[in-house]
Amino acid sequence: MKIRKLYHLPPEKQQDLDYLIRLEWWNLAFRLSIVAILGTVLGNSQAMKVAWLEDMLSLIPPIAFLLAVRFRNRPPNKTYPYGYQRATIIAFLCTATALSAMGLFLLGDSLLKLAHQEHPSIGAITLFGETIWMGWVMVGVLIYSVIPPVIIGRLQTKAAAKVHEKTVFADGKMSKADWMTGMAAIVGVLGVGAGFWWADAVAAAIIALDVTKDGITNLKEAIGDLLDRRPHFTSREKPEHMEEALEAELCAMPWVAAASVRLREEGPIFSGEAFVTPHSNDDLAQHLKEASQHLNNYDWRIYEVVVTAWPNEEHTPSPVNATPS
Amino acid sequence: MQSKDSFISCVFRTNMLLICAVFALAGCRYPVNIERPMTEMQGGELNVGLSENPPWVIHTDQGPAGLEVDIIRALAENMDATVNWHWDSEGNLLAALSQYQLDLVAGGLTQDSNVSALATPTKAYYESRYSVGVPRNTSLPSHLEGVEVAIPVVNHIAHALKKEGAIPHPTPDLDALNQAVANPSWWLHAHNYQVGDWEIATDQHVMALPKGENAWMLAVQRHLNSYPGIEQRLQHLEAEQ
Repeated sequence: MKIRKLYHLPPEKQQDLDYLIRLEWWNLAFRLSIVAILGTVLGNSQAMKVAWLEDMLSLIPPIAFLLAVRFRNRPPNKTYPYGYQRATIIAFLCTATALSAMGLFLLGDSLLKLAHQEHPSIGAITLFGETIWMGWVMVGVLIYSVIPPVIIGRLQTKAAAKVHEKTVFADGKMSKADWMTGMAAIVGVLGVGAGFWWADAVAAAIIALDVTKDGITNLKEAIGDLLDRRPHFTSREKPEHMEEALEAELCAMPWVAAASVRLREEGPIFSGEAFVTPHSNDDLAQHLKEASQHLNNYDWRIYEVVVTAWPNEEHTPSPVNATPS
Repeated sequence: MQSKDSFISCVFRTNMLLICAVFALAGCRYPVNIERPMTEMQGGELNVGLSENPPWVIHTDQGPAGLEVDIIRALAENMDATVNWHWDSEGNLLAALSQYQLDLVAGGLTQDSNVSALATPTKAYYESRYSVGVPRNTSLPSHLEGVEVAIPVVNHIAHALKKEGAIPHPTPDLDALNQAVANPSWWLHAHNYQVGDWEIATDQHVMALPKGENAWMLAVQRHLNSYPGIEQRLQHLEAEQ
């Protein structure tokens, strides 16, 4: 049985990844503090409840990433000959599903409150012997809940792009947009204080909509990856044209007449197959092995490209006969 | 990316404007009520629902009395308001409150889901601690294991007492018994019992307000928090009966 070698990041990328892992620990710590503090001042406000649940859900991506990073360092073995690189994607899919489902539930809940014309109560709280309106405390806490995610979100997207960690990149993008949901909750709470009963439920619905949107975006990413979609770079919408670059590399070799390549994403890294038509069959096995090694070292993101030889007339495989028999 | 950034800053500015507008609208009176403005209550009439539950709310020939009635009278006096008292069952009163026919419901209510389904309860202004007491001439037992304890016939502490190992004994008249009795500490003090350290159960006493009347809630809560000597007043009311 042929078992893959364990994937190793280049040293400078490993440093970037270590930085990202540290960042995610900080992210997790701040998120936990936000959830704890928000939880103490929830009151009767729907917007606060939704913002709080959103913050709770935002604990999942860093936890999932930190778990997956540990898990995928296990070497490939007889049971899992392709290794554990896709552990990240499983975590990502779970997060995305949770986000979508929770977002939809909260959206329904908020719209129901709006339909029932429920008047939210934001009562009083006694702090240091002084009884003040709870809304002020909520606004203060919401402002705190907005600041760390925006800063960490920026750092996350930059660091995640360096090591092509899509899950963290998506999480960072969500964090950067988090201040808008925080603001929505603040407007909701202040609106209730100004006597507009609907302000709270409307703000809650907006936040829920944002959670759902994030969930569906992530779901698309995760499903794309599981369906072996062609590689996209983290921060870009369009596919990475690495296949063409690899084909050019192969065609530049003197023994190659024609070449075509397909790639898929396995978490943060790419794997795939190259189909090569040689000019002659001399030293073919050796040529194929060297070509494979060359491609695997072409870019740090490439894990394993298997190079096989194809006769000339069958070179451009159609989707039907491209399946190896 | 450029357009996205300018979109975000546009949203941000709109948000800030909205927040400022909310502040400007509200002026210095913040928060305000959703249904009935505070200006109408101050110097006006307060509609208060009462459900009899001594010593919190007592029905007498001279009108309502009791701890909560006193508290509400003091609040109304501070607000220059007159109070219209409405007697009914707790269920009816809460339903009326949820339709904004009343401003407040009192009746020795405690924090539970029945109240918060239809109304907004205040924060607990007083905590009744249920304990076990013995007559002055006997000494307190060191533990409750196997001790027979008299309790009111209708009560919600029998389970909690059993958990402590005591044998609850429902008794119609708890006054002047020669055995251990479980009841709130103010009741035990009022009836001259020696009160033990056990905390069998607690009742969080609240009043019910309509949902969303946030300025009114703030006013009531401030009044409740500053109301002095509740425990003494309860003992006094109980002893009088």
